[in-house]
Amino acid sequence: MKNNKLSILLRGLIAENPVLVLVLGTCPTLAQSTSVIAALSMGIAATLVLVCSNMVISVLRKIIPDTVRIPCYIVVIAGFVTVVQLLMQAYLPDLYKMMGVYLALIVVNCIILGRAEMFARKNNVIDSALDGLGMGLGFLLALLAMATIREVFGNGSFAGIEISFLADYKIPILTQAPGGFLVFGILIAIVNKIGPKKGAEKRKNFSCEGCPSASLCGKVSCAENCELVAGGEPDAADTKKEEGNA
Amino acid sequence: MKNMINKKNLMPVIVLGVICLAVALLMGAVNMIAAPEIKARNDKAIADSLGKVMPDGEFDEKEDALRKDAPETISKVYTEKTGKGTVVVLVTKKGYTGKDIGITVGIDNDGKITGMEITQNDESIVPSELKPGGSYGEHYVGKGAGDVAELVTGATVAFTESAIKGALTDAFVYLGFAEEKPELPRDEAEIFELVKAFYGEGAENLVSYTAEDATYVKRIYKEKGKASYVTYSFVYSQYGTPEFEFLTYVDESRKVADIEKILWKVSDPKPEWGYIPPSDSEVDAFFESFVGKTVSNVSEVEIETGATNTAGRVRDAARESLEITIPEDGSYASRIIGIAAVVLAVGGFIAYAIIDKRRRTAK
Repeated sequence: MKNNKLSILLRGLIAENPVLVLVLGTCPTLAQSTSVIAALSMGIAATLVLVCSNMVISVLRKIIPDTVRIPCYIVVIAGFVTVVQLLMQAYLPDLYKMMGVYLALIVVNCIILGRAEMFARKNNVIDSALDGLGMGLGFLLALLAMATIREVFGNGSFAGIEISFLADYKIPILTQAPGGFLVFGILIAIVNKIGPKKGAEKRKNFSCEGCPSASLCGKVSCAENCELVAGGEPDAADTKKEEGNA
Repeated sequence: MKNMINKKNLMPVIVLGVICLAVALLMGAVNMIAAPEIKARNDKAIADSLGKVMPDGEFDEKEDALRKDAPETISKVYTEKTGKGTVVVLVTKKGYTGKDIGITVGIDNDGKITGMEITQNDESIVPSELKPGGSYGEHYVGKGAGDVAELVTGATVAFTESAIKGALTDAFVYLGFAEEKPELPRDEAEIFELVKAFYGEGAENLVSYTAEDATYVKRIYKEKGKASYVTYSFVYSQYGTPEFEFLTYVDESRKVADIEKILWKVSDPKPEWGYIPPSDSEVDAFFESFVGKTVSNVSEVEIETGATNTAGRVRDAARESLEITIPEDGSYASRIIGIAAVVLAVGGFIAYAIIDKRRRTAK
């Protein structure tokens, strides 16, 4: 039981890192990873919203009708983002200014909505909070890794502190959007290589759990759907397994 | 209708409504805690920035509503609560590269500057005193609208300084301490007479057009049916840099056939800058070198040492004269034909629709 909770918390860090494995939240990642301070602030703010929204959505999961679940999630997430925004504006004005529009854009960060839809609406409060925390920390970790590389090599500084011996060897493109994509791609490749699952996960292993189109699709599992598309029959063992998961 | 209002349809509405209400209450509660802190910070920030240019001034967080006639350089105006004067926040783009230069200036009730600060300077070449927080504003303390024009600051970036002085003049004009300068230095009739004298034969047939989307070329004069034309160019640099006016005769092959200087107003020589303006003969020779130039080689004209910025602008103005779009003589006729064609097309379509409908009804 304890191990299960720990695995929920830890899987967001590397194995299911929202940025580098699930490739969610790319826009704020690229925009806010030019400096370590901005990345740290964005990561903390997103984690806070993620934990709170996951918990609330988990509490309300049996009350929220399926037809209006997405508007409900958005209202909850937007509420928490506004709360974080107001608190930062009041008590951390410098960070608030630094984050600019990206703070408000946490509302549409797909990691948060994605975790609400994929996890929080099917699990209890504690698990949802742990998932939110794990995913938030994973997001923070990815942002920090990217920001460190981009700021140190692109700007010759770390968290605003100048690194004198790098002053003459800056790579300015790293602070620009193309550099961001470059670092992003390299980090994804590294995580893909060292992560527990090498290469792309086979489609047949995905269950319908968390798939927003599950109710419309009408299939038992993605494996069944894939086989039908390919013109063959679904693998009986896989279908059975997926049924069990569902 | 009754079937539609059942539990299944009502529940989502109620749940969403309740969640919205709960979230609104949460935001309201947080706002109650955060709002005083935010207001205090904003007040302090405004007092800090405005207080620098009007010491001991008290200001509202909200700026005054701008009048409709406000020059585009004025972005915000704050009236001091106790009646000490007004603080004007200006943004000008009239520097050398056209990038933003932000200025905050305090002007008291006698029209004197109480303080001036550069808050932003995105120009490419910026001496330290003209950078945000620099000492440049000190030159202006105690100066009025007229003094600003004559002020010699020692700053060596003429365009930036000119832009700043222009923006400050806008602030004085807005507050009623100076009169707005006219768009052109002389009236239309006078310009037309100068053009006629310059044009020679056929001058009585000239028609005047306002140049659209041009920086320096203000008027275009041409005879109907002819491809050649004359442009009147003017740069009104409010202060600091010289003013100039000239006429350019562009022939059918878009080549400068003739050019005439009307005004070349050079600033007073400033020995302390080591500034020596070019002589009259040098200026005449400079203008003469434009004759025969086309768009492709007008940039080969060498600019005058001693009036680098002004000569550069003359060259830009000459290029603009060569590139400018000339209004077509038959523009009205073509517009009428165009409108008639559209009316006919729409009318034809409507008529067809009516006839078609009647035919169907008859069937």
